[in-house]
Amino acid sequence: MLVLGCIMGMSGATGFCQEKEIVVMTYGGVWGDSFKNNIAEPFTKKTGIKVNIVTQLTNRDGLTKLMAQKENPQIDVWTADDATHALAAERGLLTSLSEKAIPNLALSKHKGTETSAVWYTFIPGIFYRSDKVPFEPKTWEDLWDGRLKGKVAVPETVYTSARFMVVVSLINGGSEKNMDPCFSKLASLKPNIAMFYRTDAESIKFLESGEATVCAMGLLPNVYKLLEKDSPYRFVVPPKPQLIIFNNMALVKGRDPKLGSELINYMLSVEAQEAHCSAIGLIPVNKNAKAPEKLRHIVPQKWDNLYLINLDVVNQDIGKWTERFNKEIKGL
Amino acid sequence: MEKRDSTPYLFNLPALFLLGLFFVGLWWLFLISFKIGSPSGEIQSGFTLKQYVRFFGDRFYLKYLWPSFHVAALSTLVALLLGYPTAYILVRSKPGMRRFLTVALIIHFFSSYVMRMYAVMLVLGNNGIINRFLSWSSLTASPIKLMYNEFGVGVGLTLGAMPFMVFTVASVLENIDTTLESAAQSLGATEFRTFLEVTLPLSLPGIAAGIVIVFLYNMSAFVTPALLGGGHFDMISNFIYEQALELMNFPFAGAGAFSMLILTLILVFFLNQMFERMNKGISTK
Repeated sequence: MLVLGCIMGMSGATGFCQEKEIVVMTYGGVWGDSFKNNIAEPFTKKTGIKVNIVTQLTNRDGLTKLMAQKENPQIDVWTADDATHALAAERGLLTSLSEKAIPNLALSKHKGTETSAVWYTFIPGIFYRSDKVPFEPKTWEDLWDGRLKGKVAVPETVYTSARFMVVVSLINGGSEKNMDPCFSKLASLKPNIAMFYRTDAESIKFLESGEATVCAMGLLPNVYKLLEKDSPYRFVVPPKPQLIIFNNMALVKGRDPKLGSELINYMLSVEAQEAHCSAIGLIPVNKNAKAPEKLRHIVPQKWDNLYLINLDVVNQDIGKWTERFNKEIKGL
Repeated sequence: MEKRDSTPYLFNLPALFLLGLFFVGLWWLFLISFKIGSPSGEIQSGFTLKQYVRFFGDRFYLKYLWPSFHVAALSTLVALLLGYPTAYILVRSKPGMRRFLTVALIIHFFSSYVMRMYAVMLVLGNNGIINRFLSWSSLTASPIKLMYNEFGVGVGLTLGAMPFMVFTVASVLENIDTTLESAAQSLGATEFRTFLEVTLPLSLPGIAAGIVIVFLYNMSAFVTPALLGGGHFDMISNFIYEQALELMNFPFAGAGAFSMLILTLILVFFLNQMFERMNKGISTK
């Protein structure tokens, strides 16, 4: 009987000897390490619920996995950027979040949507190697400096949901609704482009190997640990336009929301927010959580030029932009 | 009447199951390549040739096909030129050398493919061994671009596929009756002539199998162009990945995948025909 009960437990039914488990799909690398150490393990210690982590290569990789499992979902909690969560919600893959089940939602500075709660925010900027770049890049326009010929690594369209392309459009008088200025401006960047990257790992790998000395748009957590006094790595947040990226949590439809809500509630707690954010340089959303001290020297004190991208437009047009990017910029 | 033993057929069930899974996936991909997708990844019902018209009607997409064929063919040729002598030495050398080569090839074969490509990057990169040597010897003022282009991808594909070529050719070379070579030499043929007129023609089935295996392997390469192409040199698999997993345009990805599959099968069919004719020519001599 005991064996039978265990087998039932393994197959997903509630058995008496079954350990409570939850499956979370999130990022790998430094993000995944911090999630494991600062969220999953303390959560298990506190609640006895085991957290199984499934790694996604990119936000869209995660979405594709969920689409493939739509009829039989295997993931309870999914973390991704707000743009990708919006797409998943449109496809009916997510379930509503309840403030009753997740009381810490009330403490969040950013509310998110009905199906997607903001977990933390972070800022994109320019990474560069001070030992290889002859000047200090400060603005997005500095990427076009002739001294950076063949030195700049540029993100592919899908990286951070085309935010780099929107930035380029904005500095050339366009926006996400008018991307012609983006392509004409990017075409003039070609002499400086060393290569293209599509993942976080690649964005830093090219700098480490010396194949590129500037990463046109990188995410602070990817280099956060490298930003020490004697390190040649630098991260700069150009003043105009300023962007902020929301990373969100969602419950996958078709799974029991109880344990997932419990984990999301923990992810929003002061303890988890401070631990995760201080490990990799993120900005917490819990009103009572303190931002890491080190961030004060990096994050701008003034947000006069913050631009909020219309993600519906991005999701609608990213396919067309990718085709144009491949044709006109990559010139494959 | 003698009763037939069903055991061998039962042993084939797992393989049949896997084949079934493979064909179901392929069939699904084929079906959706005649549909229309939406930006959110939804596949609309109906039948259309739009994806194929778009793929073959735009020279840009064909540009993914031609470089893929080109680099796959070139790297197969180089793998053959390097792999054949390696296989020959492997088969004909003394046990010590043979053991060394076998172990080296097995280590190469079983090491992580991604790590092998990173090793290539350490050699070809701006700060790689070659560029450091060129800079140290003052042969070049600045690093030569050996990566993030067709050359880099070609080198990666060649190295990645080498064990397939070597083992395939070696398995045929091993079965060649060496008394035929001795007979040719006893009749006055030099070693080189013996190789050209006896060994090489008899090893043709191995060469043919090696070429087909390595070409197919290289044609569908994804990791090598992703790591060594740097976005400047993408192959057809990178295009399919981008469409399916990043843009969620499964119908267009399906059309790209099927176009590649059909064109590759046609090419392999002609290659097989050519090798068969060559084999017949040799056996009738």
